[in-house]
Amino acid sequence: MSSLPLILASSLEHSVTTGVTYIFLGLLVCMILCLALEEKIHAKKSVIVGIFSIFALFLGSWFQLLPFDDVGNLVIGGHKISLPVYIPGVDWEVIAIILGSSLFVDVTSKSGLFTWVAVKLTKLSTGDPLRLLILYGVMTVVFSAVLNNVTAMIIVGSLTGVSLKKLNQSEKLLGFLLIEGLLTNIGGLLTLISSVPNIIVGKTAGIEFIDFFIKAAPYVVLATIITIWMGSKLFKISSLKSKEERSSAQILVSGFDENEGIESPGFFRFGAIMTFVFIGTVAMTSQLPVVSELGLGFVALSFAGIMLIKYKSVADRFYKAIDWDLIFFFVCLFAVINVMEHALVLNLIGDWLKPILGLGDSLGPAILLVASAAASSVTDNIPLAAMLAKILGGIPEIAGNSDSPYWWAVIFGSNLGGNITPIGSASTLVSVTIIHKYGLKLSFAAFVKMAVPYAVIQLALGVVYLYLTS
Amino acid sequence: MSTVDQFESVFKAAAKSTYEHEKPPITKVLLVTDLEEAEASLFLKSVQKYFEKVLPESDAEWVVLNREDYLAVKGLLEKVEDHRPDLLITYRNLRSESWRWPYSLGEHLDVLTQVTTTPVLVLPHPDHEDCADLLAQTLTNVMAVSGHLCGEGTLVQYASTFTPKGGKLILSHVEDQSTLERYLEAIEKIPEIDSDMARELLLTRLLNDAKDFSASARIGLEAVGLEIEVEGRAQVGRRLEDYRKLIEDGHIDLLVMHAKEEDQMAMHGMAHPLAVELRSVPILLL
Repeated sequence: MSSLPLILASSLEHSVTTGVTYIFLGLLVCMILCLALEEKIHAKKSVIVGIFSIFALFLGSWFQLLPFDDVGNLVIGGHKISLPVYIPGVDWEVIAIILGSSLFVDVTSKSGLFTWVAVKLTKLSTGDPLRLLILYGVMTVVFSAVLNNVTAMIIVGSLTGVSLKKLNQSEKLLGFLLIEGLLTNIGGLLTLISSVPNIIVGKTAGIEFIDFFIKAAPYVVLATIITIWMGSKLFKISSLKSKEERSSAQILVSGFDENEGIESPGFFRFGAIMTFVFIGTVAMTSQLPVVSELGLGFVALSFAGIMLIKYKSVADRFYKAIDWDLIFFFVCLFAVINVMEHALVLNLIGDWLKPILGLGDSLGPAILLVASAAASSVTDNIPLAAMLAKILGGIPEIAGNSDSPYWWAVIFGSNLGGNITPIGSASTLVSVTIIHKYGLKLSFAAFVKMAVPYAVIQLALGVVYLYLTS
Repeated sequence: MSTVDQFESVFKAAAKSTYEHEKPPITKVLLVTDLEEAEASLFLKSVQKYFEKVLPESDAEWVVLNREDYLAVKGLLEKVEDHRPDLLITYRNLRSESWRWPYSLGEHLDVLTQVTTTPVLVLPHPDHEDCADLLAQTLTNVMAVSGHLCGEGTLVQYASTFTPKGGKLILSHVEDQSTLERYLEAIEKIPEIDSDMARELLLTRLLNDAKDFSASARIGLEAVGLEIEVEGRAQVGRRLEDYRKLIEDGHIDLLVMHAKEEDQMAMHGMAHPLAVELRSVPILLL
């Protein structure tokens, strides 16, 4: 993960008055509120954050906070490069990972691989709602871990809508989609590469891929089981009672054809192989010579490029299908956050968090986990993770210890925070979008009301887990 | 990035309608005629002979109405209500000379098909030149007719019930070319939709759904051991002409189609013109 924005922000030599910092903090709060009220103001989040990035950059320039001289006269590899001030603030590695992996997943999905797996699992459920919830839950977690949580939610969420309708169980849709949305963020904890905060914090802490997996996997398994169990109880999702119901569901579910999405068996096999190679390469990127320097973004874009060869004459169709709203959201968000760093807003937030670190290795990580979850629930967890990683990296006793519970507190908190509000993570936003697509009413407050019991349990479990494993 | 819509489409395509066979119970058959008693009895024998393989006398009670049993539509409906048959067999233009002109079904049949929930099997008029020859033959090939074959289990259940052992059941789906062209022309005027892709994909999708359901029906009927040959036909064309050709080519002895539409009192879209014009082949209207 690139650390360029942090370097730029940390190289501030100007002084920022407290008043100016609070003005920018106010702007950040307004942006978060607007994002929370996205549906009320009928605006895409890329537009909302885009507008705030314009204001933030304008005010940053007005108050002379932005490093125009530095950015305008960068010397990289002996070449002088001039960039607009808002460009280096964007974490292009993250954009490359999102763009590359989503393109890769999109093209690979044309092989029918993911739908094949999803439909196979649907048939395996024999149409029983509880079994379906368990299998879809596990599939959500695994897809979130190996693909990304947004794609996982799109695949599992869209299948859920279709399969529950076919099984005449549409009244259970809200429960299914909400639980799946929450599980995407648990799946995002499974490996070092499952989410961007994992990558940022894991790399700063020096946590190896396998160590990360060993540490996170038991929690993910436990949290998944508890979340599915809670979901089944709270949403009254149970097994079919009578033999007739089971027989009827079995017949309905047998109508699913897992081969429907497979256009070419050869491309299906190629897609399956490439998916495994992609996961393997991503997992091994830091160990691979040459590739390790180029980073995960390069790996993701390269695999997308290789897969696009199959559709070389119609590659533009895939470009059109890219979620530009999400891409522009990230770009503008990075620009805003970068300005906030220059305005010392993140330092201010960091200062508020510093006392927590003095509370000891039991209470400190617990409070940090909950605080970062609370912050992640209303804002993007990537800059938060980057900021906290930077703060922790500056503390010698934590920086030299990759097993420190503080690192894990940030990782758990920034991932699980997405389960508190619908804007806490992109995948929960997708789950709400699908819920609305099916005409189900779920306001921001209603989501929070429903999700909080799960989030509280998951966070409490995280605190206990960190306490027991540190 | 793939959208929810894209994946949803794939899963919707994967969620195929499956056919589950359940034999419709036909224990009482009411033959409605406008013939004198003796002629009606003779006609009953011919009809029973024609359907002997699929509706053996031992399995169903047969009742015949002759000219004296009812005077008008109301009386006929009362008789149907009294007998509560599982199947009505009759012909067009009862108590009328209009059968000579192929422009209507006649008031009795119009009402019978829409007011009663009982399937109505329409035979050629007894005075029609082809009727005697037809009833002298053996029922062998049956064709189910639908513009929405996918998911029409009842249609296949009845059609397969009327297909004798060793006979052939054609599950036909003719997508109306003119309707399709009208939609495609509209699509061509929408800049957001790729016209060529829409044409190719829409056509494939429409026909595939029907083919998939035919395949499912074939498997379902094989599973219950009916020992009939099942063939799926899905094509785009001008419906009436295409059905005429399919009937001719397939030597069809009985057509089966839906006649009722939930939200209207008139007969189901294509059923009326087919029932009016295809007068020399028996038609079962559900």
